Amino acid sequence: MMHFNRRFMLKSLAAGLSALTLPSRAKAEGAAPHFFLQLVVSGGMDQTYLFDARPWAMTQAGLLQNYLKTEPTVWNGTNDVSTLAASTTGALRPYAADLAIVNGVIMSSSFDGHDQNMNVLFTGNPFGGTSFLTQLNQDAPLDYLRQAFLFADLDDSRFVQVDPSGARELSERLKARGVSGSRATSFLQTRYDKSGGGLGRLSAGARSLLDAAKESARLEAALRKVTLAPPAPDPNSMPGSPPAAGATGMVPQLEVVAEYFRHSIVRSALLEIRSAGGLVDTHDAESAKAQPQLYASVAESIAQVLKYLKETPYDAASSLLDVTTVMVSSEFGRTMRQENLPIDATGTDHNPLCNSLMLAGKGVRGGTVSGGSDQQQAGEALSGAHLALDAKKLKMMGRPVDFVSGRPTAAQPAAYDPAQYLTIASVVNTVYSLFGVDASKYMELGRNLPKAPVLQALLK
Amino acid sequence: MRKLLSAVLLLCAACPGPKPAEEPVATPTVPTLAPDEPTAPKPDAVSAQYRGYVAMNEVIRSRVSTSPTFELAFYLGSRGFSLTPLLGQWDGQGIRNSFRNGKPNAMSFLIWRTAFEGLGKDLAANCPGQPPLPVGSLLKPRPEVTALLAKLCTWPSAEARSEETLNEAWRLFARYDAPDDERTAWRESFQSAAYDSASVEEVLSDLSVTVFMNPYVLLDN
Repeated sequence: MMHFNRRFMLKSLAAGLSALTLPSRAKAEGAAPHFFLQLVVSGGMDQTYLFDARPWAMTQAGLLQNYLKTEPTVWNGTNDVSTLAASTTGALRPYAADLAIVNGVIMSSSFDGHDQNMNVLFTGNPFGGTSFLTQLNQDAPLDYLRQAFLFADLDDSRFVQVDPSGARELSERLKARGVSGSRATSFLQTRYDKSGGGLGRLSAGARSLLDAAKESARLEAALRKVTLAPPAPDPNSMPGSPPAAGATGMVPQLEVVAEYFRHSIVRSALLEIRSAGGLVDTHDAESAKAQPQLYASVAESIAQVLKYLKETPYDAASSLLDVTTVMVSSEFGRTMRQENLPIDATGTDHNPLCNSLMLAGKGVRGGTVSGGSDQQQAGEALSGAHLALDAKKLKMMGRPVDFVSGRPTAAQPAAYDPAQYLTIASVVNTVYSLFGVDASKYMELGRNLPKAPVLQALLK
Repeated sequence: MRKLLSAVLLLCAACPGPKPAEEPVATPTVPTLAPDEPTAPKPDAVSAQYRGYVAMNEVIRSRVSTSPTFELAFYLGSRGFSLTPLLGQWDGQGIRNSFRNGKPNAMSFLIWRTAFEGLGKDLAANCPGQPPLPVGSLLKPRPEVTALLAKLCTWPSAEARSEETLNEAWRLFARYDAPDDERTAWRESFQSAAYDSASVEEVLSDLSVTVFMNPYVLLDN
């Protein structure tokens, strides 16, 4: 729902003329506009400092590191499922009604590495492939805008990785260029067509060039409409570098996303959130002790994105959040502690058996909590499935879930069967269902296994 | 003794003996394709990619410019280097190093075209009587390019549009990257009526785009 207020109206007018008067391709064709924004926190987010936190008693029992040293508070979902939230989530409280918290998401049950799990997140395959973002596109010239460094082996080709300054310069150059040069493009197309008629490498490449050349006219027309304010000079920024967290860190990237969405240049965007002052991938105790500050900055950045999307008009009738599904994720969660180290001097390692995600925006049932994980208290009996995958009990593991209510169940499976658990494939398939992706493209529970079920509890 | 026995057994295995009854040899079945079955390979499996920004920049340095510091990115604006990774480049560390963004898409196509249009305009700015680029020429053309420009800058004169001049331009810029029929088609396009009233700047801009974005020149073949 769009929030009409003075600021929104002023922004509508300021951005407005392009946003309000230039109908997007999606609108022109009568289709409801729908975009996807993926925010990635690379490194593996720790539940202790965001959602699915653990009681302080777990730390007192020597089971869970917690350098916040505070008791988490209850975050109640409107679907009668709750989670514990660390105090570092404070910046997200104003957006509680927008956010759907998804806990206990299992990534890879076989691999602990960053790249394999990032691959699972984007492709469903630990060895990589084509990202799910490409499936969301239906009519845009490019699949997605990327502003992130990923440990992932993606073979996507129809994306663009461009920083705000580069995006602005390119559009300004194309505007200044005029429309001459069509002779050259037309001639090139005849050569690509001729060279593309064979079966060899060059022919295949020429066919790709022909497709690119044909699509370029539509892309160029859209890029000419893009209007971006000159960025403030930043002497420390490197070309292509992701935004730093902070008060305005994400805004230049979001301005590009907004313009590329409005003019239907891409259907999706992938932005990286970097915590201020370090990485969340903290294996050593000293780095782990800095995590409370890191997660506070991560939460602030997510809040900043939500604020921007809520307050920025997509068109006269909708905010950007009204037309965008947002997903915040990392490649995995983290272990509760490291083996054989005192609980006040331990770091954390990778835990792909339990991840927490956030979703918001179009089609998402905001205010809900879905899923959950085990090891909520000392002495808890763990399932055979858990012990088979984590004999040392260093990890939390997602619990079996009811896909309709989102509620974790009391089942204690003796062996791991992904059909009972909430996997990342289910979350992606839920996004697919929102975008009307054909069910044959849905991610599978595993190799030669059925498609992962949609998490109905997430849907409006 | 055991070794000797093994050797004898091995030799005997190769000795001609009574032939076993021959089993009928099955005729191998040649798989046939149904008429509607696709015969083309999957486009991504063996597709040529861009040579990449660094390689194409080297092409310009070695064929057009004398400046060792020449960069095509200059024609993409002050943040041009933020766009060049989209044109194909080696990236990553250690075993993760691989060639990225080499598959053409609409965005990279536009960026290449913008860069080569800039190159063409820079060439035109080296023509006598033409206004210089606002920032001056970045190119410093090679002597043989300067000699060629002396003819092309008279466009649409007969000399500029002659087979000899255009062939010379192709040989200088495309070298022997592409087969002859590419050169012929290219030359004929500039001799067509479409370029009768084109300005020198338009001609050199299109010339640069069409030579350097020819698939045999732009792709890693």
